[in-house]
Amino acid sequence: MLSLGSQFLVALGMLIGILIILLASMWLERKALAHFQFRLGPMRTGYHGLLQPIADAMKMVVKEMSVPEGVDVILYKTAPFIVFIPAFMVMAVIPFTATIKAADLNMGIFYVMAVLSISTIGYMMAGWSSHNKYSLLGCMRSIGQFVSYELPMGLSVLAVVMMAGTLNLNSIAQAQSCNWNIFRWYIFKQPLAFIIFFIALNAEICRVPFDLPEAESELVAGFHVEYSGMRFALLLMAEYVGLFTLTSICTTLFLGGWYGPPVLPGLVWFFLKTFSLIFILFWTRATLPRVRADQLMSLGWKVLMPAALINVVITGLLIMLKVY
Amino acid sequence: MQLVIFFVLAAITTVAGIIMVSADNIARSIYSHVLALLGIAGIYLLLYAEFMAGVQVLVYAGGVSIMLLFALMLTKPAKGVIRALDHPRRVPAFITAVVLFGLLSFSIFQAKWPLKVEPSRVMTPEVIGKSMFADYVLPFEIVSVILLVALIGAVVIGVKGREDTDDEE
Repeated sequence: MLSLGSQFLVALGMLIGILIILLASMWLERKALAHFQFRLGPMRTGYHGLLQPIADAMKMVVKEMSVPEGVDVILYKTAPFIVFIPAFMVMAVIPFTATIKAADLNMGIFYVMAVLSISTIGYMMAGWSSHNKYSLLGCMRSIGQFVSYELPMGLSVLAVVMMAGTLNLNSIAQAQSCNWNIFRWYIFKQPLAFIIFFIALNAEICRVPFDLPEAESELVAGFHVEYSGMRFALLLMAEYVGLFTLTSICTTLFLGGWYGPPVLPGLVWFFLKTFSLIFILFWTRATLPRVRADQLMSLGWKVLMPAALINVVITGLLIMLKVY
Repeated sequence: MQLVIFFVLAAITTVAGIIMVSADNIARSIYSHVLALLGIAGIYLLLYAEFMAGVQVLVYAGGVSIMLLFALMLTKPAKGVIRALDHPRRVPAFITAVVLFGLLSFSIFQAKWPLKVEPSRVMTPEVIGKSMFADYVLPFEIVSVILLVALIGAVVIGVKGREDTDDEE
């Protein structure tokens, strides 16, 4: 048990670390998207626009936080925090390496699923209290999306949990420990679960093929239409924190966490894998068009759900037959 | 320290509960309901029932309340217009409330409450899973059948409503 002071320091360190990761992934997204579209992206602030996110953040901080007329003020003001805090709380259980981790919870992955479900309430709060039809439509879509993709996501995680025999993220990563034999990673034993998890992850963080809740061309900006200044920044940050935490959960569950061929240290492996996943998400964003609402629902309920259920059954059979 | 945390959580839960029943705005009352549920989850954590706390958050705070909110938005105009939560049948409601209060407080005072949790009795997911699928498999299956019935019932009611509107058109 660490003393209170050092716990505080660890928390502060993680906060600064995640802010750097946040800014880095925002920069990376803008640059990646620009290059996918044969543009250069931000170039003027710092080397190849490296300081652009900091400039953006400064702008956000000094902007006025307007409160439109007719909003439910208490709910309107609390909603960004309800969205942001759970997204950040997930960080607590992510094992970056065997030693760098904030909390070693026995119900790690279960905690992640539980905490993530709270931020949905924040979206609902933001959309409903804004007193704007676009926000309301956006938040209703996001709820529908979250509810239908949380189930296949949970079921695909279940297959991994069945194989590892534990809910603890640290132990799940250790079950995939490897040197050169990377075929111990669960992505090779559970390819279907990985695909389902990755699609559901994409839907959970509302990124492009599944960005219906904030479809610009239909809904202006969805549930955060009425937000400005630091409150908007919180909602935006929550999105990027969600991007990072969910991809790092994916790394831990399927890509062996910090384990890899012993040419690089564990932390480097972890971030390499996570940022590759993030890059794939940017890539999909640049490549695919948005799905329609009915396509979204039928993909979730008629394809991913049965596939995830079948995967659980097959995994159970294979474990019973002692193949795994 | 634990006592202080307990009282803070209990205060949050109670205040949120009072707001929940006294708010005249359904959405606010649902949000304070969420807060009350989270407070209870905190108390579970304090009792080392990690898994219970997780289930509480996932199922009640994250699942049931979202369904409530979703239903609210489908049924009400989105203006944030507040209709007072009032009903002419106050007397039966009062009697029901008093009877329920009496029953609950009777059973609460009857029960023996362990004031300390021994770490050996902490419920891990393994223990819960084993007892659920070995000792209590029949109740578990019955509950799942009841849920299935409710699900099918909801679908039937939904489909029926849709057919009626089709006829009217």
